[in-house]
Amino acid sequence: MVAKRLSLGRLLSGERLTLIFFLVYFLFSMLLVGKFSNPVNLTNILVQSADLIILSCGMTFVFMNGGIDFSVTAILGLESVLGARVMTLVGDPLLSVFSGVAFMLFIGLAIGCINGLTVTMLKMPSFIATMATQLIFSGLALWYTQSATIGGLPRPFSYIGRGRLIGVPMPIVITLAVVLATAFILHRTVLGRYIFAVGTNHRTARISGIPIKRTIFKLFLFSGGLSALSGVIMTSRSGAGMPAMGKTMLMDIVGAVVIGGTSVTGGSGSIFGTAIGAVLIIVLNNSLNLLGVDWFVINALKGAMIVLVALLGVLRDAGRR
Amino acid sequence: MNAARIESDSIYDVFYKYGLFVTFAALAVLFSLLNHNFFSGANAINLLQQTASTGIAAAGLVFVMVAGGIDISMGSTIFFSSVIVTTLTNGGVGIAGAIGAALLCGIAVGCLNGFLVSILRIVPLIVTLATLYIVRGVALALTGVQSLSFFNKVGDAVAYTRIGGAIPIVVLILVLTLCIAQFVLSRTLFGRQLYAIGNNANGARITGIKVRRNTFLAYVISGGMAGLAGMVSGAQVGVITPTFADGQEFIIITSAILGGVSLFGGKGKAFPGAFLGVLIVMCIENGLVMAGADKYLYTIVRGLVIFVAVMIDCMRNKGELR
Amino acid sequence: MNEPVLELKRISKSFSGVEVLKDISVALRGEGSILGLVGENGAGKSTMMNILGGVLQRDRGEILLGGAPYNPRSAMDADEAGIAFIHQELNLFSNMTIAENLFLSDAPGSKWGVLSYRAMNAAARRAMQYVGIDISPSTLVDTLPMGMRQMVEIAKALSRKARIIVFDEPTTSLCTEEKEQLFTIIRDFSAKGISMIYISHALDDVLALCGEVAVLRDGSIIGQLPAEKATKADIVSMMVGRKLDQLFPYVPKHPGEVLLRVDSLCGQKAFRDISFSLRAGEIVGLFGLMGAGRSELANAIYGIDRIESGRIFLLGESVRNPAPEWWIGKGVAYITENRREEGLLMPKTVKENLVLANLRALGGNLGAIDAPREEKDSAAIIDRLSIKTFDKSRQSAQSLSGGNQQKVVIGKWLLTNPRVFLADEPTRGVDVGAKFEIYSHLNALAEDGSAILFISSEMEELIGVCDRILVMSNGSLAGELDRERFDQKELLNLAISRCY
Repeated sequence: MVAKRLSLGRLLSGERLTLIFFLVYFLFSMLLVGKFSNPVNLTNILVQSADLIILSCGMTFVFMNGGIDFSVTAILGLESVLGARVMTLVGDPLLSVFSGVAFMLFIGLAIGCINGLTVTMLKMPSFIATMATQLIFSGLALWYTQSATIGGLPRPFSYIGRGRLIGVPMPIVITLAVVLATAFILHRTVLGRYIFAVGTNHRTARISGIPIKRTIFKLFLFSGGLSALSGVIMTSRSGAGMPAMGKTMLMDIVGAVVIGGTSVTGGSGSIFGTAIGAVLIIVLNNSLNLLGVDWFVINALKGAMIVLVALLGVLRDAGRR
Repeated sequence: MNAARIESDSIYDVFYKYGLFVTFAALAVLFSLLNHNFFSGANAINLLQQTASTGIAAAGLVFVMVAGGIDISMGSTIFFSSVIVTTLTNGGVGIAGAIGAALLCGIAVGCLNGFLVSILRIVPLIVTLATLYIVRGVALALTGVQSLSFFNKVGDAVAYTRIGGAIPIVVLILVLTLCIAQFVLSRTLFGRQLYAIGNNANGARITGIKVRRNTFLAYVISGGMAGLAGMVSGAQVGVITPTFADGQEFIIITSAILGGVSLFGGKGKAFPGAFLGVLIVMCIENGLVMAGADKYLYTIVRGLVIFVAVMIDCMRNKGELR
Repeated sequence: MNEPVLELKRISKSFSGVEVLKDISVALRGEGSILGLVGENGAGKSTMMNILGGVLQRDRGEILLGGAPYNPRSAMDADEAGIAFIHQELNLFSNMTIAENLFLSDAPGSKWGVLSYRAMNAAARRAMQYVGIDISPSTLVDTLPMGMRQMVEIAKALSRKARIIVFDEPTTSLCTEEKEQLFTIIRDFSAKGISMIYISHALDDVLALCGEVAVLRDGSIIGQLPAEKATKADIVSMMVGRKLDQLFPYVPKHPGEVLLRVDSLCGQKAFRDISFSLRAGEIVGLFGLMGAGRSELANAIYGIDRIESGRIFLLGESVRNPAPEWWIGKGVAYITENRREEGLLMPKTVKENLVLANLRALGGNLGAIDAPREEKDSAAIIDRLSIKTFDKSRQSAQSLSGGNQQKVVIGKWLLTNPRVFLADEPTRGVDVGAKFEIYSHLNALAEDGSAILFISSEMEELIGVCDRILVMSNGSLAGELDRERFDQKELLNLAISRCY
């Protein structure tokens, strides 16, 4: 009896449901939506997914503790313009790329660090702390460039976003590496166990010797760093530093994480689930767009999906009690 | 376990209670030095007009926050209500109908939020984050992605009428809203029960308070106020673009927190509290205007203000690390 | 009016097969009478009160309120029936005034939901004066000292027109004056016809205040006798007068060096000036009644709560800033008394829970978890402790039985190879069979050279298993008994010695 109940639960568990839904929807789109199965379109989807997957992986970490990081879009914008500026200042192309990328990653980590300290030391709720940092740093990005973009980036830089490695687009290579690495960290390492424990029950984790504040702090570092990485790819692909880069992506990121099966209250989640969720979101965006659905209706639908999946989570938790 | 947050330091209390007034007074003095007209009646009326919409929405938000919840969908509610009202009034509906429609729009959103949070028990942040997109999406779908003009009889009436030739109607609506909101919060059983729920939800349930029903109502009120705010600010702006009120919720939340409404629940008032917060935020913005600040600095300053406001809140009240 | 005000007739209640209340009959006889209810922890007092209060449902028996059947299904029912409870943890809202706290569900003078502060404040002032306090009803509850808050709670009970008030350990956080005030009010209430049940460990108070005293032991009412005819010694005898015929697996040991030493430890209000040592190879019991401060002491030692003053020594070396992380590294384990909220990650699997405290050791290159070792370690512990789970990698801790849950917690700590074990109520909520297994395991650990601090409210098991027993009473160490001098009455006397 218990065994039976468990297997039904696993079927309904976040990732599996998402995977099933994704496959079904993908099939539907391939067959019924006009230009969807066009190879150019499919490549587009893959590349766009790359950005979203990396961003969502970062966000997954923060969600594991029941928090959220609203500043990811600000990180994208700020590092894009500051990195671009650095690259235009340094002469030697290769050095320029390295220093630019290094600086961009640094910014992501720095903002992640600020977020982490704010939550663990100042004890501010993550949603409002990151809301504040989002305003500050996105404002900074816009102010710095006065809404202008920064072009003239060194040629080698575009390799990251547009180049290919053994025929596979670089963004996809990087994304694969990120997914494998983060999945490994979250699901196979001691730190990952710490994260799951802290997200489940602070008190138990603490008494069992797990460093709570340090672990939570690292969650925001992951989010900041991965956002920065995604920003590097996005900036490279666009060829210019843009202060408002990724501004509208927040909903997609949250959608990918929630629909991918990560609990909004913390304690459970899956990188692979998030990755599938991200691709699903892109496929949704793409196919509905091709069908002529307005962008705001697509957003509303995604919002509804988030609520539905969150509801499933609530039901699952209640059933468990 | 009594989850009360026991403050051992009443000095902080006193400081904070008067700190608000002190801050506002300091800002007032500062601005009067920079601009001789500051203390004039005309300027005061002007200030109130500017803060009307935010003040109305903030008054509504207090209900939700006091009960321990949060609502980040208000910008979309404001937008939704303003486009509906604009469309209706352009079609001939009068001012009474406009007010009614604005309230109804807001209440509808509030019911949705309340239902998802109180009945289905989904985390308020996620719920209102989702409704932020859902509501704007519905609004845009209903009226099309275009700028709507609210320069009609009703719009002009709301924006320009002055009662007795002196008091703009929006200020009247603001004052009425603040009074009613504060009255309900402090002098009704419902209001007091919200404070109890915010302080100790479990204890409230044991005492027999209908927690779910009360929190649902709190969201309905918050939504309704946001709807009203939508009509007011829509009339004042005149042209409603598709991104109207985008991000407005940040300002409203900042105002509330600055005004002493705690994120953790159980504390805060609509008046003077949240309204004072609105005034402070408006003063800061006006200060930026007068200083001729770069328009991009506004967001940065807003972010800093939220940061400081929440930091103060967290020093006085405790929550879990999330 | 010859019926008792309140009568419990043959009430029985079991939890998961364990009988917690066995056929108890007790009566509150006349109006205005005060019945004292005494018993050790675990005797069944809380369960009895919860049944009376509608929080739990009885399995058998009936309750008569003034002769009529009384079947509360919820706290509201009890409230409406005129029974009020003054619990140890008060249910007041700190952000509101006295008047507001008193009248949250319905207020005097309110029309259509609008409050009349004038009527409310006036009624609140009257209610407070009734309990002998003259204070402004607009005072924030937040600013009141404990004793005063209790008075507010009592006033709340009265304003709900309670005819029966149950006091649960009311004097634990009160100072002498506040206590005197409380007694004055209780006597006053009695004169006014309000009947009361007074639960307390302060036997002197109980005998002084109450008309009759009922003694509860291991789920049965041993007796209900008039207070004037009872002495403290009689009551203590009745509280502990059980036959110690159960065999406990005791093994004589030879204690070695001092592993952990605590010197004049003081915590915030919870405990003062505690000093003791734990030697290798011994099981030291720590007995005390609820509120004695034992768990607070253990929490403070382990670094979860703050220590005000005093020192801790591990193997002779002074410990600065103790923290769980650090203790685990040094081989000191802590089984808390609340396994659901502090010992286990309920939704996680048995395996994940078992390795939780030992994760650092499982990390290899890049911090990767050594899965085969995790499997081996957890399987070994499950085997060693006979934990019943159908699949350690799939079954959540939530779905285990209480005994198995406790074993998982113990198993988790065993994996860290501790030399010192702080165990707070390690057999709580565990069935008899599992209990004995746990005792055997503790013995084995001691024989191996570990030092164990066995915190428990169950005298029997402490007497059965420990080498010596420390007794805490109301925050301080009241005494210590060696095995040869183990005596139930003596232990209880020590435990109530500082309760005033």
